Amino acid sequence: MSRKRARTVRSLVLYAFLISLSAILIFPVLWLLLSSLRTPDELFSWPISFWPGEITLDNYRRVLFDSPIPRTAWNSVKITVISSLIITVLASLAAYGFSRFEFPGKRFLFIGLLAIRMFPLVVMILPLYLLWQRLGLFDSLLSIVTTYVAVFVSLAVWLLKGFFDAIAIELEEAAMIDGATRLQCLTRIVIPLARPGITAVFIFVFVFVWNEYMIVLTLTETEAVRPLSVGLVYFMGQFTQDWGATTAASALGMIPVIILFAAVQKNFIKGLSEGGMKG
Amino acid sequence: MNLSRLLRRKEVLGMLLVLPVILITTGVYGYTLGYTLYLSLVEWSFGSVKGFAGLSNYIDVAQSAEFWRAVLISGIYVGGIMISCLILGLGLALILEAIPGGANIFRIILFIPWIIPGFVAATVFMWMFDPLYGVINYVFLQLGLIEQRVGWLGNPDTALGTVMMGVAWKAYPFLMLLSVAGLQSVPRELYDAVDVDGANAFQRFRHVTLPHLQGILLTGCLLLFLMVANSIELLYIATQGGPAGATTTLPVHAYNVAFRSWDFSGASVISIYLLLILLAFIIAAMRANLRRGGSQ
Repeated sequence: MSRKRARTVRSLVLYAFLISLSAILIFPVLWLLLSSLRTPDELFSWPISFWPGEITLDNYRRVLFDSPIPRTAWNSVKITVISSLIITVLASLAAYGFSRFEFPGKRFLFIGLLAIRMFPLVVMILPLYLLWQRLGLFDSLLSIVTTYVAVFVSLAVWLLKGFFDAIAIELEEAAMIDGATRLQCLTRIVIPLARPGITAVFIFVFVFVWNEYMIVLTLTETEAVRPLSVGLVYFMGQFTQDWGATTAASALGMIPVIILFAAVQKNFIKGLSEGGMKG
Repeated sequence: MNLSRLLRRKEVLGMLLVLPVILITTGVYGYTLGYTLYLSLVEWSFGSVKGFAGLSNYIDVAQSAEFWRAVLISGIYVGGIMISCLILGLGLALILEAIPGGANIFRIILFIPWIIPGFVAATVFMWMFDPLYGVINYVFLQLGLIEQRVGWLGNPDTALGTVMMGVAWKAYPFLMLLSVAGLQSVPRELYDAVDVDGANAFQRFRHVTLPHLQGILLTGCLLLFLMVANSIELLYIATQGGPAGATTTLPVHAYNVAFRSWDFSGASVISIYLLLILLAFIIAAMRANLRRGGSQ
């Protein structure tokens, strides 16, 4: 067999393997979507048929119009948007500082930001549980947003620094020679150039906060503040047999995140690898 | 020195820019760590501090069977998941590098488990592994892997493995992404050089790919290790540590002791032990990295 032919065969085998593996790995998500469109008759029949005989939107109708899920989704939006905005602004300032300036203790601080990722959950949550209770802020939007900002801002700084590092410092130096202040450099040069990266990090933080479950579960107790993550699991526990509604609610809860990610994935992956490589 | 001259000094501006983040982060993390240590050293009963207990809490926990069982379960959990993620992540990255085109689509599809919410992943897996109507039972029965429907999450023998599958599924894209980035950084000329000497695929991997990939893989594995060792979300939603403690890893144990038994000092001790174990691993990893000649 010629070398070229061998390579083609090899590629085909690899493709076949890759497609099968991908099909298996993506199957859970597809099964979720499929199940959300099924009637209770089909969901609870045995043996299972893979193709739905009848497609129904009734599960979605029930979730959207007849359940507490939309209310919790709105809470998610509030919590996530506010937290992500605050985190992105603070992290941008700090990342710019880490990227462009030298000051005593800088390296130590930056490594410290990474080191705290190893804190177990209970170490974080127990004292905060007691603190918010004592301050009378338990189960409030303020305490949740503050907690999320404190927990996730360091991660955002670490990610953003990589993006800022990638912007040539010569641009600012040239501008400063022409008389620009640091602030003008930041707002007129760096931020516009770093916008893809800042957007990507904003979305990354958004996804993290939107998906978060344990912290908000522990620090809230009423439906007033509880977001979609907790609401959905609670909903599932209430009606263990209503898998149609549960899968529909899950599909709804996941779609915003997938869309956001698809929108920025190219920039994000590029920036992550660059940032990750430089450490 | 007047104020405006001070502010214009480069370092000061730098420090001011990072100050809010540093303050918030050290404030919260310092407070929580400090308070946890405090709670671990006092006697906690009926919702408040009753007195100083010194190290007796630490001794109590170290003598409790549940603690060591949680350590064992954590060990199996983390080990199994790390190995699965490494094989899947690195393996997929290698395949993606080797195919001539279309890698981008696959990269996106294969990355999806990482971004879907943990609570959705838990839901999916609980539905798929449902004892009566779950699709896994159906497929395994058809394939002859099982003889009758299995209660995956309700059976102490299968619960841990089932949860581990779910977590590994969710986590492998992290290593895959890092491996892809690492593989793309290997200079093409090195491959051409060994090809000239007639190297086969294994040799290419061992002598060109692996050395370049080692650094980023080690960092990635360490980060993944920390994430998995501390992970609790999927586990807690699916089993809350049951059935009969079969899935009670250390983080789950600490959480249950805190918020089911309301023993805040016991829970603090368990988490401090967990933190120390993690520290030990990090230090060991850094030592190994230095010996290898790494830059970190």
